[in-house]
Amino acid sequence: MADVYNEAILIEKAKSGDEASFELLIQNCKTKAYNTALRYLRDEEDAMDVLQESLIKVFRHLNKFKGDCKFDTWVYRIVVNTCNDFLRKNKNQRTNVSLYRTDEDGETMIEIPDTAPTPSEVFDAKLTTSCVLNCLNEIPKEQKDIIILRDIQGFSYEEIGQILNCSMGTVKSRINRARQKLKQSILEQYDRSCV
Amino acid sequence: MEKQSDLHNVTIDIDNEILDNDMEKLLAILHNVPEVEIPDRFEKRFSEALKEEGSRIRKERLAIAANEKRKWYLKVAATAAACFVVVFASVSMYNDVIGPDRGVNPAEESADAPMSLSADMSNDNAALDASKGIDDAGSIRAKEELTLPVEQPVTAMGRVDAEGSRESDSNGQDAGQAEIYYGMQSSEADTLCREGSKYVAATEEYWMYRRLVDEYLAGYEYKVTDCERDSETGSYLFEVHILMDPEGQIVDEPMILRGEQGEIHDSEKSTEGDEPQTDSD
Repeated sequence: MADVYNEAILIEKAKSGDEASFELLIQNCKTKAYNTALRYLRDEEDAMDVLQESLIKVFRHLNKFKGDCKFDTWVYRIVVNTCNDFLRKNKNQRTNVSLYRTDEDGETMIEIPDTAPTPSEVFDAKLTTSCVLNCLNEIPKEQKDIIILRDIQGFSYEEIGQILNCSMGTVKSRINRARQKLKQSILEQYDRSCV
Repeated sequence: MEKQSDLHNVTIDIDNEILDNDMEKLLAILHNVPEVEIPDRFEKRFSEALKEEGSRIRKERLAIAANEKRKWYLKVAATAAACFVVVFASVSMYNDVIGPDRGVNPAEESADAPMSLSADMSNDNAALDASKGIDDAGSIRAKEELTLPVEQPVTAMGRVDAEGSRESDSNGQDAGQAEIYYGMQSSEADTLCREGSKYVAATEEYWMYRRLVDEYLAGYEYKVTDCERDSETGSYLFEVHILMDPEGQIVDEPMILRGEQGEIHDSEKSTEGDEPQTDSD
């Protein structure tokens, strides 16, 4: 109750443009929002861009928050929508993966990503995290969303319904199909690796 | 062939078992995907963007507040202006229509006087004002207007001479007087009667003969144009102009009716020796 009261006070302060209040407000949900964006976009920089854009949107449109759901859920919904917008915009663009990345000491390193599983990885641990996440990218977007939100981020069905703006029944039916689809995708990848 | 089929089924069963096991593993893996911390560089750029947005929001709120204040002032000013207009209009109407200053302004009075007096010549108040000899311009005009009826006979007499359509009884002066009477009759409801050249007030006898004329000409549309009383015999001579017969046809003919001894006669017929058409029975 006290948290809700504090949250309401912080929201009111943030509405008037108080950055400190807003930072306190989003402190608890920021990391989860970043991880959600990262699972959607699978790129650290993109995830940070989308997270920043989402949080600025939240700050700007805070007066539109009616309180019909939890504030955190409202933030995640904006993050998911921004991720979808980002993916839609970059759908037809060729993905350019930067080889250059600045580390903490300011030195430039060249990274050459190789997502293809090595033979040993395929045989020894075909169900590794990276493999699953790769396969997750192969399934339809709606099913991918559900898997990310439910199985990776651990949101409840109700929260997922609010984030994706659909009913709980839809979420439940979608999650089963999504899991089956992911399993099938992993199997196909396993078969291709065997060949 | 059957052996191949059995082999295929066995393979599927094995795969399903593997997959069922794999589903549990898959969910375990998904649940255990590690949470990644937000890179430190994000905080720096985010706080800058946040400050920028915060200042923008504050400016916007100030602008909105100023706009609302301005709207409020505009509303107050508009309300005050509307009230002022209503009060001004009310005071103006009071002064113009029912106010105490009504009639004080000589200019207004002079503009109004001729119209009101000419419109209603029998206005006693105006006559009173005019007779008092008030020295302002309006009163002088009113006086001039009041003198007009006295000058009317000249105009009427000229018209009679020019038309020459009416016969006088004895002399030109009588004819003129008759035409004056005709003019008065056209403007007044009742017809006055004259004795020679002198007009007399309408008596009960006169009104009795007028009623008899009405009865005599029942159904006709007519107009009494003249009435003369013979002072010696006490008879009345009515000049009547028949406009329309009872069938609605236009007649447009003059007629002279004589009223004597309580009866009405057609003057022309009676001179020819006919019996009177009707009487006051």
